[in-house]
Amino acid sequence: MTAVSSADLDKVFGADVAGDTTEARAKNSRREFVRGQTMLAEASPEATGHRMAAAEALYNYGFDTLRTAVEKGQAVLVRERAEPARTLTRYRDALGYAREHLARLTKVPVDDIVRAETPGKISSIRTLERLAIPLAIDERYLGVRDQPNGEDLGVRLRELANGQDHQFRLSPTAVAALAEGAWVIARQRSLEAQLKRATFFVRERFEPDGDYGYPTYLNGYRLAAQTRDLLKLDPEAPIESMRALVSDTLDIPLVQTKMGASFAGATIAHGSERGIVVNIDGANQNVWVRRMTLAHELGHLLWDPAEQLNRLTVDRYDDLKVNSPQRRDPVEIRANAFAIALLAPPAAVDRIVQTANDVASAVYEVSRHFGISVSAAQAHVGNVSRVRVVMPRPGQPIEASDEMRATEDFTVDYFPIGNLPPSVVGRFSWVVARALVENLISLDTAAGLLRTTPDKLDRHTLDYILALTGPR
Amino acid sequence: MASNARTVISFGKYRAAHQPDQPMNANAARFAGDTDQMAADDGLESWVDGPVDDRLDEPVARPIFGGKPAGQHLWIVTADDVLHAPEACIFGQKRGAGFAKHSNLTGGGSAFAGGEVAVLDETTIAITGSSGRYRLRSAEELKSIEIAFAESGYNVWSMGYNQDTNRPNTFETDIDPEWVSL
Repeated sequence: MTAVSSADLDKVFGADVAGDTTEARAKNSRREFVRGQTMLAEASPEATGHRMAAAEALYNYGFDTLRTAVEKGQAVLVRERAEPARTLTRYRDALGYAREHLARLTKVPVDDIVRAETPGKISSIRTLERLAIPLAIDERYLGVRDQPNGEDLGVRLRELANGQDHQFRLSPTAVAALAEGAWVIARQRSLEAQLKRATFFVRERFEPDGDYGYPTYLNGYRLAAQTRDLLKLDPEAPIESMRALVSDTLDIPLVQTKMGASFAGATIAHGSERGIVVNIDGANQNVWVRRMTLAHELGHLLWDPAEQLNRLTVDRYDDLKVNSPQRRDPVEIRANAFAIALLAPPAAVDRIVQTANDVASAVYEVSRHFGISVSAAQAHVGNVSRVRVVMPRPGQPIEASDEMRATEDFTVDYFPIGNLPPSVVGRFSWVVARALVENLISLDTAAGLLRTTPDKLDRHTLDYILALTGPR
Repeated sequence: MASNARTVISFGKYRAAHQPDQPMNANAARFAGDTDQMAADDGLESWVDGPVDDRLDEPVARPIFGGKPAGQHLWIVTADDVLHAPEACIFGQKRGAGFAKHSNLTGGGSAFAGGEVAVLDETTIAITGSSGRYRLRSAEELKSIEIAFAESGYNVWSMGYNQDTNRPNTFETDIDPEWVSL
C-alpha cells in the first residue's frame, strides 16, 4: 500500500485539519462527500444525495476514491450497467417479495421500484437506500460490491415463510422484521468496527460445540456451566440482567422488534455477523419470559455450529418452555436446557429444594431468586431434583420486581425521539449517536440509520440517547 | 470549408447565460505536460456545424456505450471557440497522463466548461459534461450546452446530470443516455 502524501491529505480533507494518519485527518475534517446511485462527489449545497462525513466516506470507499472525487469532481462507484438493479431484484426474489409488497413495506411507489430494478436507469439514492434496508442489503455497498451470503438469509426466510409445517410458517410481518433485524445487526457491527470499540469477540472465546447426543439436556447444562466459567460469572449466582449480559458483556447485537404473537426470538447469522432478535409482542412482555428467550437464543448463538444455525434459527414461544413437548429437535432441546441452566444453575436449584420446607415453596423461591417464571421453575425443579412437583392452586400471581424489570428494559418504554422503529432503539441507537458525535458519520447518515430527520438529532437528544442506551 | 455559423450562435447564447469563464480547477490532478497547447496537427479542431435541420423524434433504441466509447473526443468551450480533440492520441501519449487533458485544449487557460463527445454517425453525437478541470456549475448549464450542440446541427444524446451528486453523469457508469429535444 502506497503512503498517502501530505499534499493529497490536504487536498482531500482540507489543509488546516490536524491528524497524523489518514483516518485521523478524515475524522477531524469538516468536509463532506455525497453519494448518488453510481458516483461519489464532494458535497455541495445543491446536491440532494446522501451526505457522508469524510471519515465515513473514507471507511466505505477508500482514500483513492475520495482523492478522485476531489480531483475530478466525482468518482465512479458503480461501473456495471446491471447494478444496482440486479442486486435489488435478486434480494427481493430471494425473500419472495412481490414488488407491491416491497412498495408497502418501504412506501416507495411500484413504478419507482420498477425503475430501480431496470439496468441503466438512474434513481435517487434515497429511494435505493429505502429499498435496500428491508431486503437486508448494506446500502453503502449497493451496486458497489458483492455482499457475500447476503441472499442466503432471504432464501431461508422465504423457506420459513412457505414451509410445510403451518406452526412454523413465518408471517409476512415476521419475515420483514427478521430481514430488518439482520440489517441492524450487520450495520451495528460495522459501526462498532468504525468506532474501534474493543468488542468481546464471541468467536474467539466460544468454540462451537456439535454434541447434541443423548441425554441432550445434560449437554445444555454442561454448556451453561462452561459459559459462566468463560465469562467468569459466579457458578450459582442469579444473572441480574440477561440484556446486559448479551448486549454489554458479550457485545452481541440485540434487536427488538415486532414479530406477531407466536414467535419469541431468533438468532441470525448475516454475513460474518451474528445477533439476536427478540420479539416485543406476545409473551416476551413478561420479563421472565424475555429472560428465557434471550438465554435460549444465546445458547444457539454461542454454541451451535454454523451449519446448525443455518443462518437463521427462529423459535416460537411454545418451543421455549422447559420440557416443551412441541419440538423434539435436539438443537432446540439443548438450547432450552442451556437457557434454564444458565439462569438457574441446577446445583443451586437442588440446594434450594433440599433446604425448603416443601417443594412448592422451593419452586417459588427458585422463581424469585433466579428471575424465571413459576412454570419454568416448576419444571426445572422437577427435572433437577427428581421430585414430583404439585403446586397449590395459584393465588396472587407472582410478578418480577420493578428492579428486574428496569435492568431488563430495552428502552422500549421511552425514547427521546418518537415513532422510531423498535429495531433501531437500544444499543444500535447508541452506536449511531456515538459515531455521529465522533464525526465518523454525518448527520444525514445518522438520521437515515435511525429513520428520523436530522433536525431531531440535536446535541441534547444525542446526549440523552448516549446516557440511556450505552453500556452500563 | 466547413461552416460554424450555427455553432457561433448557439454557443454564444450559452456563453451569455453562463458568464464568466473559469480557470482550471485547482484541485485537478496535475501531470507533466498537462497544459501544453495542442495544435491542429495533434488533432485539435474547432467544432463545425452538423447537417441536421429538423429534429428527429427520440429513436426507439438507445445507444449503450459499455464504458467510454472508443475514439471519444474531449470538448471545451472557450471565450471565442468550441474546441475538440481525441483523448487517446499520440500527443497525449507523450505527456504524463498518457492521454490528452482538457487543459491541453486550452493551453492551461480559462474556459467555460468541458466534457466528452462521441460521434455516433454523421448526424448524431453523444456528449457528457464531465471534466475535472473545467467543471459544470449546475444542471442548467449542462442543459444549455446540450441545446447548443443540438442547435449546431446534430442529433444529441446526453448522459445527463445527477442532482444527487450535483455532477454530470459520465460514459463510464454505462447508464442510459437522454435524447435532447429542442
